[in-house]
Formats: sequence, structure tokens, C-alpha cells
Amino acid sequence: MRSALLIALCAVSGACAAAAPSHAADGPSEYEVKAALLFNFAKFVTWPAGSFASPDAPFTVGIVGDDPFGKALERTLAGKTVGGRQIAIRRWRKVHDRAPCQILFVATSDRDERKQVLDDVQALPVLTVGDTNDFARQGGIIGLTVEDNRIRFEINPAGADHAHLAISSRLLSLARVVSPHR
Amino acid sequence: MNRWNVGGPPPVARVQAATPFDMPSRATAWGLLSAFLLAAAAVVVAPHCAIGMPVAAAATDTVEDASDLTRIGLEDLMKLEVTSASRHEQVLSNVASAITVIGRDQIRASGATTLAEVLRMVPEMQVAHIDANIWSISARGFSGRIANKLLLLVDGRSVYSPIFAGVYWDEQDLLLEDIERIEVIRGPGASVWGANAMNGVINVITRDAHDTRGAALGAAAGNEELGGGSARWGGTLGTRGAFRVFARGASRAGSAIPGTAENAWDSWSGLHAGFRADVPVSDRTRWTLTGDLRSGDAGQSIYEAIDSPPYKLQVSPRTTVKGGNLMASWQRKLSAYSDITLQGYTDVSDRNDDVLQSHVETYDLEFKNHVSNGRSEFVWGLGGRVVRDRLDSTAVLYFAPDHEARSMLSAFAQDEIVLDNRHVRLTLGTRVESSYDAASSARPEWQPSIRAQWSPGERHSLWGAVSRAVRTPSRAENDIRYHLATMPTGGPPAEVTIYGDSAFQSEILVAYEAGYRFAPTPAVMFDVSSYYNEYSRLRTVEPGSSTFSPTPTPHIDVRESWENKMHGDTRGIGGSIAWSVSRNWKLNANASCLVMRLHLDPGSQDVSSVSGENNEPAQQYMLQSQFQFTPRWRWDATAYQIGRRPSQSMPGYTRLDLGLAWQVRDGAELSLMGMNLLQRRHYEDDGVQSGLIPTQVERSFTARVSVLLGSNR
Repeated sequence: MRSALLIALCAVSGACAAAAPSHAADGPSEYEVKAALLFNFAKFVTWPAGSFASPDAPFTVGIVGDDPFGKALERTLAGKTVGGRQIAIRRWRKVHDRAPCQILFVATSDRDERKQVLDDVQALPVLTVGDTNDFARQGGIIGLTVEDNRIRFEINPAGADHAHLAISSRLLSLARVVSPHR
Repeated sequence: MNRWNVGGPPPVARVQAATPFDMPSRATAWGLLSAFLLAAAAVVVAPHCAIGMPVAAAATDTVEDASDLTRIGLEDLMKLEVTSASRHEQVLSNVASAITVIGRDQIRASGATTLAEVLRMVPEMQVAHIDANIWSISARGFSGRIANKLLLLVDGRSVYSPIFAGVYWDEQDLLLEDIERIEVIRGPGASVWGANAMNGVINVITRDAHDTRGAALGAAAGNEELGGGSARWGGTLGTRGAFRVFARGASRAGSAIPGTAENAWDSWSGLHAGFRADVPVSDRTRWTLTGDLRSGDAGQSIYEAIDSPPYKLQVSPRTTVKGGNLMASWQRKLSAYSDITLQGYTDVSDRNDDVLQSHVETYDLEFKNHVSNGRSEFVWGLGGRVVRDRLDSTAVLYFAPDHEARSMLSAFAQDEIVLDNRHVRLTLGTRVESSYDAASSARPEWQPSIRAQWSPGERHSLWGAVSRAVRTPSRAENDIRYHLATMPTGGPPAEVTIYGDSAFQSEILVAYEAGYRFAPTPAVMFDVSSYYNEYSRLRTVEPGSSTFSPTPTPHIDVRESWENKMHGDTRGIGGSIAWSVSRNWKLNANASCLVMRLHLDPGSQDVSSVSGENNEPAQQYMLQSQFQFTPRWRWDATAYQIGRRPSQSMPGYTRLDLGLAWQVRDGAELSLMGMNLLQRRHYEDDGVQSGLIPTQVERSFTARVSVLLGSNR
């Protein structure tokens, strides 16, 4: 009888869940907040002179791999500017398709491909951001983590130096500072 | 309820019992603490009043513009709570111990109104109601009314009583809505948290004051939870700081003694008020101040030993508690790689009833430094604590000496090293503590641990640990004289008295643990932990001399004492699954098994400790569903199946709690909870070990309303 009750409990919950349409729970979604963080990174990082092809070139946010943002990136960044430049969002499925950008969100799930991207851009003025495990320790510059349902980030200052990016102390003070593994 | 007298004058009898001892009287101590709290409250509130309006307006802007997240500052962005399926990542990757983190949504889903009830959902924890305000709680065994192997910290402040060694759960009347999370570590945490973190440590972390701005009101009523109300108000302090003040009052019903219409007098009522302020004074430096004042009134029924037939008398003493604390914590980032924390607190706690009349003051200071260099995370710290008590004699016990000051010094260091391209993490740490009092010198206790974690892939993680932990002697074990019982013998009755002994030593545990975590998809997390714990020098009750005494009436004095003559092992396994079925539906399930084998050392004549301690359910299971079936309606269900306790006559039980919540509009919620729905009432503990007359958990319903005003949730 007891196990029957437990089964009934499961069954009832499951039936309802299956029948109910999907609703957003309270609060913004993880990737809405991450998109807003990308915008903040753009404000608190200084790119070296010569990072842009022309004075009116857009500030480009690129995503390589399986884009986890959905519509959140467009919704959050639409119409925004960084340092007077329009923001452009570009997506590349494959590592090889990648074109120049200022922020590169690395969303490739394959670890070797990820390493290849990071190696390719490590000397370029590109802020690499990712949310895979230990992203900043694996050579990325900013790694996003979720702790207690809140977004936190890790910064790898050595990586930023290598890319000639200047990260403001304010951003550093909010981050966990890590060094890449050799 | 008219017993509530926060900060009121202490009973006159206590003042008369003054001794040459140089500690301040209770009245002075209370006065000092009240003055501290008032001053702190003034500091917290005054700046707010001066600049209240513009700051409040700014906070409202933030809330209104929440749809455009780019307008929110970086700090606030990081405080936003997000809905995420991958929240276990941190736990999966970094912790080489059996840890359970209970977040706000799970606390809410449990329907619990007390911290003790929240802990039911943790695997490997034994939680049982003895009466309406007394619980038996432990992790991995050795539970009891005052389980001595489990440490409880609230924002880093220890609430483990050094007098009887254990936590008084009725005094832990926290405002659950203001808890950010509860981290429960099963197994030894002693290398970091210190003595008595032997079978587990519970860290309650309250919410940052930045997260509780605005006003919140709550009320609850039901057949067991007779009535309760809470109010919280939070705002900003200067440009970056935030504070909150809160007050809460509640009253819980007593029960009938089973099989009779007699009242067990186990009702409870309490009042609690406090504040928290978080002030980042610069990018590098941050202050946190907290303070509480609380009072409570709890009843219970016990058998008290008397000298003439029938030698025991059922009495129902009321326990009154009063307490207060003030804590300040200062954190500073020295560089991008290093930070320091200095934390101090003072706590005053009075607990008075027919059996115990205690006044305890705690002063604690801790320094901590954390250094990270990418390949290792090094933490070290130093701590000092002074506990001063006054324990007045009652009809059944006294302490010799009746007042004492004990000091404890501690140092710890821990290094977490990343090896082999992050696949392996090795954590080495130890803590050393020694305590001093007037009678005895330093008794250093080493509590080392070694932990290793191997993550062969991002989805798997294996860990293992070996640690040593101690449970230090309580004041009672050293110094009490407690008249336990009077037994008829045919001739003159035998009066059994237990004598504390300064030779009583720390209990020792060497624990071997291993665990495995597996996340097959970001939405599913399996977590299994197992352990083999070897205990030695466990407490026994040894009979001593029996002498005939003709006065006041002829009787035999039977003298018993506490000694360290039991050893044994426990082994067990606990597993849990957390599954985010969809964005709106989460399932949690866990199962735990425990086997205890305890043996007396040669020469021990103890007759009760082996069976008394070997008293845990061999199996227990939990299943919980949190289901948001429309944006405004939420349904929570939790079922428990608890096995029989081997030394007790009562059977195991199944328990079902259901809750339905309706968000009437943003910030206003109505909810109805039904607890223990399957049975009209059931026992969870027979009370024998605790000497209490137990009562049953009854089916209960509670209706609640909560309103947030101008708050950023």
C-alpha cells in the first residue's frame, strides 16, 4: 500500500507535468542573465587600438558551436552600443567558419575543438567567454559558472594579457581569479 | 504567550546566587548585550533614514527595469537568481565530501516551519520528533535529544551547546524565508570546522541584505502551527550597503499523552528579532553585521526521580530560553589571488527549567586567509573562543564548579591541489585545537583529513577521504552531579546519581569515505556516498560505589560515572537523484542505509549505551516533487518512508506532506500545507533514551499568506 502511494504520487505529478505547457519559472532565465553579462564585459574590458577594421565597424559578439542563448542574445543586446559602436551578433556552427569578432562565446561541447578555438585566438584581441566546466582554467579568459542559482565568473588574467585586453579592476574584483593549467 | 519577555529582568533567584566569581551578573550581561544591539540597530538604521527616499526610489527603478537586464549593474546582475538546470555543476566538480545543499525553493517546498523539519529531506540524516518542540537529530547515527556528534553553524556562528554537547533545536527558531541555503556535510568536517563536526556539519547561510530590500510580511495559522507572523524590512545603506531588520513570533500546539486525555504540555512559543547589514565599503573591503534577540517558552513531560514511592513523578516543566548574539565579519581582498576574513561574535544564552538553570556567554574570534594560485587553493586560519557559564543547582542536579570559563584555541590549514591537468584534486588539511580551564591545561586535539577527487570526464566524479575527528567532553561530562533515578530495591531505595569526571576524554572517529557523482545530462544528477566509520573511546555509563546512607531517609547511594569504554563502527550508504524533468518540474529522491555495531571495551559494566546508541532506522527513503503547473500555481509533495528503530518498540512509518501555493499577484502568495497526511498520528521516537515522555506527530494543516512590498525578491 505504501509503495502504491509513492507510485501514485509519481504518476499524478508526471501526468500533470506532461499535460501542462512549459512555463518560465520565476526570475530571468540563465542565458538572459549571461547575455546581460556579456554586455557588461564589453563595457569593462578595453580592446587595443586597431581591433576594429574601420571606425564605423560594429562591435561583434560571436558564438561558435551550439548556441545556448536562443533569442536571449538578440533580445538583450538589440539596439545597444559599445563605445559608440553598434553591436552585431554572429553565429558559427563550426570552428573553421569563425570570422573576426571582439567577444567570442565558445559553445562547442567537444573539448578538443574548444582547445583548438582557444589556441587559434589566444594571441588575437578576442575576449573568449564560455560556460563549460573550468573554461577559464583551460585557457579561456572568462568562464561563467552557476552557483546557488546565481551567475558567477572566473577570470584568467594571464589569458587577457596575452590577448592585449585590459580588464577593469572592478570586473576583477567581482570575479574569481584563476590561472590556466599548463 | 504572556511569557514572552525579551530582554526582561532575570528571575530574582538567580541574582541571589551571586558568587565571588568575577563574571558580570546575568543582569549586566543582558544589559550589555541589549545596549550593543540597540547601538548596532541605530548604526544600521540612522544613515538609511537620512537618505531614505532617494535610495528607495533607485531601488524601485531597478525592479521596474528588470525586463532590460543590461540596465542592471554588474553586482546586481550577479545577485539575480536564475533558473538553471545545471546548478549542480559546482557540486559535481569541486567537493570531495558528501554534501547536500538545500536551496530556497526546496525549503519552501518542504512546507517546514522549523529548521529541524527541513533537515528531514537530507539523505543520511536521522530526524525524529520526540515531542512538539524536541527533536532527535543526527547524521550517520548517534541521534538523540541532544546528539553530540553534529555541529550546527548559523552564518559561521556555532550554536552547539558546550554544556550538554549538542544542539537545542527548539532554540533554532530561524526565519526560514531569509535563509539563502543550508549546506549539510555528512561525515567529518573537523579539519576545517573543528571539534564536534564529527558525523556532520550543518551550515545555515542567511540571505545577503542586498537580496532582501523592501518589506515582507508573513502570517501562518493551522491546527498545530497555531499562529505565527513575521515582518521584515530592508533597505540600502549609503551607496553600496544594504540592511534588513526582522521580527517573528510563533506558537505551536501541544499534544495529548497517547492513550490518555492528559496534556503533555509540549506546546511552544517564541519571539525572535534581528538584523543583518552587508556593507561593501570599497571594491576590496566588505563588512557584514548580524544580530539577534530571541526568547522562547517550551514545555515537555518527563519522569523526575523522587526519594519515596513510586520513586518517579511525571512532571511537566516549562523551559524558558532567552538569547542574543552580535556578529561582525570583515572581508578584504588583498590581491586578485588572496583575501582575508576577520570575524568575531558574542552570544549570550539562558536556558532555565526545573532541571537546568544555565547562563552561557560565548566570545569567539576567527581569522582566515585564502590564497589561490591557480594550481592550489590554500586556506589557513586561527581562532579563539572563550565560553563562560553559570549553572545553578536544581532539585536534581548541580555542577561542580557551578561556574567556569573555558578557552579554546585553534589553528587550521588546508590546501587543495589540482593535479594531472585538473582531473585530480587533492585536499590535505588539519586542524589542531586545545582547550584550557582553571583545572586543566592544554589538551591538543589533531583532526587531519585527506581527500582526493578524480574526474575522468566532465560528467563523472569519484572521491574518497580519510579523516580523524573528535567529540570533545561537555561541561556536564566533566562536572555534573545528576540524580538520575530512584529505584526500589526491597530494602532502602537506591538513589542513582551520575558523576561527571574531569578524566572523561574526547571520543574519536576515524572515517573512511567514498563517493561518486554522475550527471548523464545537465538535468540529472546522481550522487552516492558511502562510509565506514571507526569509533573509539565512546561514552559509557559505568557503575561505581554503592554506599548506605541513613540521612535524610535511609537509602543506598549508587554512584555512576561517564567513562570512554565503548568502541565500534558504523557503515552506510546514501544515494540521491535530482532530476529537473522540465523547467517547471523537479524531482528529488534519496535513500539511506545504516548499520551500527557497537561493543563495550573489556572491563566496562555499562548496561545501556550499546542499545541506547544503536537506535537508528536501518533504511529511510524520501521522494519530493516540486511542480510549477501554471505560472501562478505550485504544487509540492514530499513522501518519507522511515524504517523501525531497532531498540524501540514503535514501528516504522510513512509520511506524506503536500502543499499548494497560489501566487495571487506578483509578490503575494497564499498557500496551504498538509503535513503527515497518511496517518492521524504516529510516533517517531519512544523517548526512552532522552528520558522524555514522547508525543506523536499529528496530521496537521497550515494556511499561509506572504506579501512582498517593493522588494527585489
